[in-house]
Amino acid sequence: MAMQRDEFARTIDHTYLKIHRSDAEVRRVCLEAEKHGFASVAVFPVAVPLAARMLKGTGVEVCVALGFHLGGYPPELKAYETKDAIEKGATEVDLVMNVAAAKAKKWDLLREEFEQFRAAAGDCTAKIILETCHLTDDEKVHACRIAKAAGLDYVKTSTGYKKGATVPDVKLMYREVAPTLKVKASGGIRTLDESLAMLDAGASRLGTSSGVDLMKAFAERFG
Amino acid sequence: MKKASRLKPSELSAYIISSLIEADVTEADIVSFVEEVKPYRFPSLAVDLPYIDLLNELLEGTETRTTTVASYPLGGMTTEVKVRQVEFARHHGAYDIDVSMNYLAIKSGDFAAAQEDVRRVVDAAGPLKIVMIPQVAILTNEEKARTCEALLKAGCTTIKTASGFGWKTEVEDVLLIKRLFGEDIHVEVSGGVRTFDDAIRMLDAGAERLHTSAAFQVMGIDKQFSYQKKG
Repeated sequence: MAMQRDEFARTIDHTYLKIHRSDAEVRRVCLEAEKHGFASVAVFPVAVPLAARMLKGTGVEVCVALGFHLGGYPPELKAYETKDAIEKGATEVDLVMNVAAAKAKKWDLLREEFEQFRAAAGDCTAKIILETCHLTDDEKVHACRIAKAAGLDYVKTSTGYKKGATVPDVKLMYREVAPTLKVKASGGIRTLDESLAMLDAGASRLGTSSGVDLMKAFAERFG
Repeated sequence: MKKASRLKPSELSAYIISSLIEADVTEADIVSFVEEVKPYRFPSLAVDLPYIDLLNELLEGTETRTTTVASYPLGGMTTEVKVRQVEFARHHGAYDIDVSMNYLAIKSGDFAAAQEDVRRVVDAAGPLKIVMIPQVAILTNEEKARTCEALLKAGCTTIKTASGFGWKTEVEDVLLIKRLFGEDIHVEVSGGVRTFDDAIRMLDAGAERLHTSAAFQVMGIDKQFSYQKKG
């Protein structure tokens, strides 16, 4: 493992998508991200103003979870949601794609959604979540190609509310989009071995709530 | 209302809102769903925002109404986005909309912010009926009381206790809210209504509607929706 500790930290989107906690928890997660040098803190839109305030000047991005977690509404509403989050301080935007559109093979609708998302995201890092557990490999490939054509920055495996990332999915997505786009693996990543397997498979980012434990495990193994 | 414990399973349908809301639900799934549930004359069917038009079309000439959702099921969306979703539902002719409250504000003790969020949603509704979701499973009893006070002050008089998707409602939640607010708050229950007995307990406790994705199971009918059979 040639990776340094700070490099590993920069792969982590420190994710806090729980609905039953308070501002105090959002603050704690932001302080952890700053301390460890994580890539971002990922929160719901309602927590964006607080996270943006906490993370100002730290180099940690404010990542927002959009369309969570069913992603079922029309492109114009998703574009509005994206702009609203950015106005409130988000610097990275993770949006759940319209899974039903892929299941119904409505590729034009998906194309329109991804294009509107790209336009609304502007210069912010735009990640589209495929929720791969619902998709066939063919549907995953289609979604990746549309994401690439739309000029998005990342394809992301999962919301974390269903089945999470798998190594085969990350490999498939990497094969389709690299090197133009990057891959974010998310959902169910709790151990160092799982994290390293996702990075080996082609992921550049890991969406996980276990960032602090992972840093500890990384230090124990690699010093 | 007839005492619920004297209801027969077949009479239960008058209280059930049968829902089909999942990420991978397609138009074809909605069409078969409506065909399958139509004979039971449920008061309402619940679908995600893009299917309001289709559901209205399929339900034309029936008494069954169209229910949809906003900031659902996690309640993480901003007031501005909820208002857009409510306007969308209104323009497309939904009868009512289940809207998650701002749980971050509630759990942070900021009931003024929670109230303001509801007020703006109610203001955007026009004739569309607003049903707020307090998500009782994540609240202490004191928070349940203060959350209900906040939504009442904001002009909302009907709640759906939980969003489902793992967040449940206990009979005690319904009893508490009815004891505190009586007729001021109409209670619809969601989350954890899986059997006929569950349903009866909730109705006897004061619930007026039961939301479930398993309507046939609750009514003791040995059938599944086509969507569920896809696995």
